[in-house]
Amino acid sequence: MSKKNRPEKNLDGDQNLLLQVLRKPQIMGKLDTQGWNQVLFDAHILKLRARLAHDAETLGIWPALPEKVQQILTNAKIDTASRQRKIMWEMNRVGRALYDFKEKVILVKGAAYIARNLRCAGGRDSVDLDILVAKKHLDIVENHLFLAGYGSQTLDDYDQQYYREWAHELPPLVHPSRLVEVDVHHTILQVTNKLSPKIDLMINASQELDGQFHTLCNEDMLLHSIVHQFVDGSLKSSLRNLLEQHDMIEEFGEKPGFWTNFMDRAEALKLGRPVFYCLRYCEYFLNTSIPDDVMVWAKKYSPGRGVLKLMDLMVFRTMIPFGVSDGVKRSKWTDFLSTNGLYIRSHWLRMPPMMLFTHLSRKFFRRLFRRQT
Amino acid sequence: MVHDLLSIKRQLAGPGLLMGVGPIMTRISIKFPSVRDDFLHIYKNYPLYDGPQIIDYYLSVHAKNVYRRYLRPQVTINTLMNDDFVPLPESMGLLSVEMGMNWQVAFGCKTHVLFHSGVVEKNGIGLIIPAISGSGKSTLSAGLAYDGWRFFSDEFGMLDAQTGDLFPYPRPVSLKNESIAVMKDWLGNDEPFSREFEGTPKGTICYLRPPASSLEKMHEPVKPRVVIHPVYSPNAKSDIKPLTETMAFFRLVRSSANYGDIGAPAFRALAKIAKECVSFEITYSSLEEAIRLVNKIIDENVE
Repeated sequence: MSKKNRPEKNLDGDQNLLLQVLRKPQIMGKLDTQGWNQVLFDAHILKLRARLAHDAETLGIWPALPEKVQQILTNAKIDTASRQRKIMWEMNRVGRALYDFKEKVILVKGAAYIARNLRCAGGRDSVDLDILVAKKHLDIVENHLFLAGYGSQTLDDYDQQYYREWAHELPPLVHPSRLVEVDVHHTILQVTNKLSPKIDLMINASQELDGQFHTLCNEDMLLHSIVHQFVDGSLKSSLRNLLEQHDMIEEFGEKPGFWTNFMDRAEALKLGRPVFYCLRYCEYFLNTSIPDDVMVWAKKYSPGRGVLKLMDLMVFRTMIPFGVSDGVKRSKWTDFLSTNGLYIRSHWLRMPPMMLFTHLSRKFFRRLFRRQT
Repeated sequence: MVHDLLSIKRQLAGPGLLMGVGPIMTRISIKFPSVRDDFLHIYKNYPLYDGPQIIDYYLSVHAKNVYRRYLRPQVTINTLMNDDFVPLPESMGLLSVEMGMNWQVAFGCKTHVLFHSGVVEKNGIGLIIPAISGSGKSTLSAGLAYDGWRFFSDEFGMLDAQTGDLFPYPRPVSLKNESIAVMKDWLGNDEPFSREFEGTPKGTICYLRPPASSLEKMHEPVKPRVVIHPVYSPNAKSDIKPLTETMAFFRLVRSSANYGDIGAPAFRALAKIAKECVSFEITYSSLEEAIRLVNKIIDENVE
């Protein structure tokens, strides 16, 4: 995006010290105590401390950090490393449970990044293991996992039914002796979502990883992350998802043919709008290197001026939470409206209005009832 | 460091007070005056800072709303670490503060191998007292601390996996039920104690400030030499039982909160302790008896 197309006003966020550090990790070597407190606080809220540790180590500036900062970042680094280890072990166990299942089992999200050792896996705090299988194989996969000792977490009938009928995944499964959540997906978006990308295309294009598991191809992996953040997610405090897209763009963007394939893919899967948002906000928040022609192409999918303004306002206000004292005055009610606006938006996209109405009222009454009992 | 009480109270009520305990710096803000008083009494002699410090944890102790502040006062805490604590009545506010700080360390600290154990030191001999709740480790640690030993912690043993050093984390001792009277008797002085909090889920709780001399040396580590697993049993005959190296190792693993997260370095550090320290289990029926057993073990096994 050329300078003049960037949102002009300094809409919060931009001055945030953590953002500056993420854009240019070298400045970690020069932060003072107050600066560190701001950065560490925001990074804690946004689960990005381990990422900072990773950046500092990769750049060789770790020894220059204050001892106390090293201590704090080491906590996060060890924590994240242990979670990544647990996820890889869970993948091993799922592999064992599915040993005679010969169809494609595709790792998605964190597990895929870690298993493929992508740049965005460095210091990424992943909690669940997500896998994707063709819808027609859901039952057999679920059965295999049940036989291996996995169980559904306690959910009532409505939740079970909701998941099975409308969701893009089974109710979360957990093995009682390891307690890592395994999400089995059959597509990347709620069945009822206004966008419903052709998942068969993605499954067909997946790449083999190690004889048992697959991952999505690069283009689809980026698209999946985008969809997860800009269509399905709540967007609030989701900077780390944006960072993951930034990393993928920087890493995959260097490979010949990536952008052409990516644009074709986004069109084939009808994901132009969320891709536009991703590129816009990656550029704005993280100065991601995006070729001009790609940006021009993406503009085709921009919403109208009014909607874009609203979206900007909400995203700028919610991507970064309140810092300890980052010196930017922000009013609480606009943050409140933005957060709730984005919540409503994500639900609006997720299901048709009437269904949304019954779903939310059911949840409301259930909560009311639970509170009374 | 700050010493002027008015400015301390102002910070505690407002943006938060910086307090350092061992390797950990916490910023605490407490919105209830009565809880502030309890807090400042039990944390007297602790290092407080007003200069710039890099902060490990933020703890906010507040009321959820005006109703919970003034009409039916209830203390809510926020540790910023996925906590889900039940709010407590204002009169038990100090418990919330302590629970919050424990939570932050228990789930946040990965630089040190954490043992659920008491730790004390005398003549350069580090003694680890691992145990489950109810075994009397808090009472034993506190008893030793007020009997010439330096107090490290009654709940969090902190071991640097690289150097093999134990680090002090001398928070107030949490005493429960019968042990409160035992310790008040032991000290013969009520000043270092908090109020007694009655009717908590664990019965009556009372906090005891560690000796000032231990607090002064809260940055001086020690090498572990002895591990003693205490078993309190009111009618039992006192007994000392040596543990094999294997048993000593597995008992330490079981008492560690973050062994699995740290992984290989923790394994090596615990194996080293099991190999190089002497490890015993003691059964005792009174504090005097326990201390006699501890001294006997030290005299007979450590030069």
